[in-house]
Amino acid sequence: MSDTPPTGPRGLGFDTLALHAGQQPAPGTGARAVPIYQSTSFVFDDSDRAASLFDTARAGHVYSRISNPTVAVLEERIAALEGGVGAVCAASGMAAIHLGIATLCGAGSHIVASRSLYGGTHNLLTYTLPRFGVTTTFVDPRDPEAFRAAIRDETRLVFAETVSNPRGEVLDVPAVAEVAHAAGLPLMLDATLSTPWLIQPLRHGADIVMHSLTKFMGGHGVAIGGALVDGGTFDWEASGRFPELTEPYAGFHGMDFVEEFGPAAFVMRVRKEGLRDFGATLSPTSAFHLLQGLETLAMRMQRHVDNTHRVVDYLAAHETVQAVHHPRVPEHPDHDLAARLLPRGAGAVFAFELTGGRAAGEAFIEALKLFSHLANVGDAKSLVIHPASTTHSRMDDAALDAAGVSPGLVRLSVGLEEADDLLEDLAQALGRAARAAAPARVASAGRG
Amino acid sequence: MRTDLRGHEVFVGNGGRANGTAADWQGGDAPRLLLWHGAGMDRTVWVLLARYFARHGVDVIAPDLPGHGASGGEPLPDIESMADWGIELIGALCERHGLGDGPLLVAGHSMGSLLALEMAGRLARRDEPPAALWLLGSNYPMNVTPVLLEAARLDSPVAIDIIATYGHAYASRLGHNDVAGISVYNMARALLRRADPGVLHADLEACRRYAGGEQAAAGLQGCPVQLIVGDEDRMTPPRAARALAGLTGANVHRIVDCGHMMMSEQPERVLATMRSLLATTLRGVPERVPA
Repeated sequence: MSDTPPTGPRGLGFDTLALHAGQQPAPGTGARAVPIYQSTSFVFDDSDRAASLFDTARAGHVYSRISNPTVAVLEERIAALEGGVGAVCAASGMAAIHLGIATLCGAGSHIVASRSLYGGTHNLLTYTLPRFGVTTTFVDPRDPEAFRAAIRDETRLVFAETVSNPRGEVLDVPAVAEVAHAAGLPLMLDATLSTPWLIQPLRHGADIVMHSLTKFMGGHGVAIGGALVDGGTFDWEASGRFPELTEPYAGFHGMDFVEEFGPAAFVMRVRKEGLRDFGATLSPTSAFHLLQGLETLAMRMQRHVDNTHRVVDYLAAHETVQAVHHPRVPEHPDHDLAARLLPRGAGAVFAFELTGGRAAGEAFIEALKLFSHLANVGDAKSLVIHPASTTHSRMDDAALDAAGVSPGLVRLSVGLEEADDLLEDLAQALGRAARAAAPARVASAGRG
Repeated sequence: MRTDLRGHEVFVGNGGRANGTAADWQGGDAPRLLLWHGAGMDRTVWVLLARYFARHGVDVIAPDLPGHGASGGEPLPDIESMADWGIELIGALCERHGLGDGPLLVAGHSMGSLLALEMAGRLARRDEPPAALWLLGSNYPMNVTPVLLEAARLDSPVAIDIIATYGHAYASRLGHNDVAGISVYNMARALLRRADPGVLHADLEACRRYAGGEQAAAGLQGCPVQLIVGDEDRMTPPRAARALAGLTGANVHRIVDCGHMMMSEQPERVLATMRSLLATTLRGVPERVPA
């Protein structure tokens, strides 16, 4: 016999799953598009079915806070695209991350997290969760050993972003996963900026993936939503740190989620407890909007990345630009890591710094005509913002510095417009920025 | 619930009953439904059916075979050994854990169906035939393609690719699962990934080598045999199941839009079939018949 494995069958491709996963044409109507089941609740055929549904002894929908047929299509589609055993959608990305944390942590729990996080996540971990007894130690995402050193007996979760906002730090997912697993902990990653088209974190060792669907997954800026994906990879029983999943839960008929659902224990508990009790449910209409975007994720992300590469190259060569924080730039600390983990590109959200500092940054943003100045990323349209005064405004200087957000930093989310039009807009705005910065430099020279 | 047998811990699913009540089973003359999982899998493949029947007057017994799921030990090398072990397990559960002596319905999926057949034959030869034998996703002989066997021997992920791809109907690979948010295709992959090295190969070899079907079937007079097949099953195709139906005198029940992984692909249709079969089997004990 040979030691060369035979070749296996080819799985369904990413684009096919993005269009079809989770849906069959609707029975009765044959509707090809996913119908919007805008119904709070679902009729029981008989009392036996009602009791069975309440006791998870049969499959089906009861009440749309817990599950809904339209939302379920989105959930199954995201699980398919990520390679997970299941997914639960939530009202927003923040709702999803809270659901994940609240399922695994309680008073006294501790999290080890990257210090380069979305501002909203930073707020949750720094200010809000400590009120409920959950504390976080923040570490340098580029240092897997820092994650290891921060883990304590009461640690329940290691958390980071695949690609951070706004400096484009790329997480060494296999290395951090190894650290987490060696300590009997799951690795949960926010993959909002990468999407499964750029990296599927579960294939690299992550156990749970979360998304703000509001961004690239939905892609059109019309609906807020979030998702948690369970890789079915983590051994909760062997870890011994998660009685929520390995011991009978009095709040759900004494259910032991690992005994009953095996690889899907986490995602089932998220639904049975998290959605039931916290109620941060995604609406069916929002799920429908997000599904429309998800169908074209691959094509959109390719265009986002292509446009971003044009913009990055242009900015990196421009005389008024001090630095471009995108892994495409050879000088970026994660250039090689990104090439390994995200070979299609490291996303379309990045920051750069103008030589003229804050004044130049403000002038630049106000001069832009095609880029929209607003607090979002991952839209089909190109976006711009000044993080220090908006998304990261609740951080003090030390936290800003730790997150790599300087006062003059400008963040771009590159959209799907013609790249030449984007470069033209940037060129004229950079000119305005240079002129705005010039008096400041003169004044500065005069003071010297 | 957990017990021990032959020096190893054994996990036995009971439909979650123990978590809601003091006892693992009702015992007494309550009907007993024994559910055997397939190659490389564990008891969680039965979760919805187990939970349903456990709440409808049935004592459900869904063991993890040795070396599978939460059970310790090494995988047993052949179907005959599994049947011996299974009979011993039932005895231990009756003796030590309050399982009763009600009618025993033996069911199995894929490899578990061969185990169920062999076990039923052995029980019949002891004049203790089961009340019913349900074979889900089964062929006899159970051919295993050399490519799959070789991939499993090498613990190659290709073995998982083959089972996941050919084990599901095309529609199931795309999805639209009855259980909200769960990908049955990726669940099967996750379960198979969890199996220790060598387990899947040992199981597939046991399936391939099993040759005791004729002897087992010969003693099954009086034990109604039901064969439940997925109409798009490419692992144990319905056409090939005819031989097994002829051998055992089984009635054949087709599950439409369904591949080999029928309990996860079509849980409601499989439940409807098994409910009906249970009601037929237990006719004369009306209070035990599920709604």
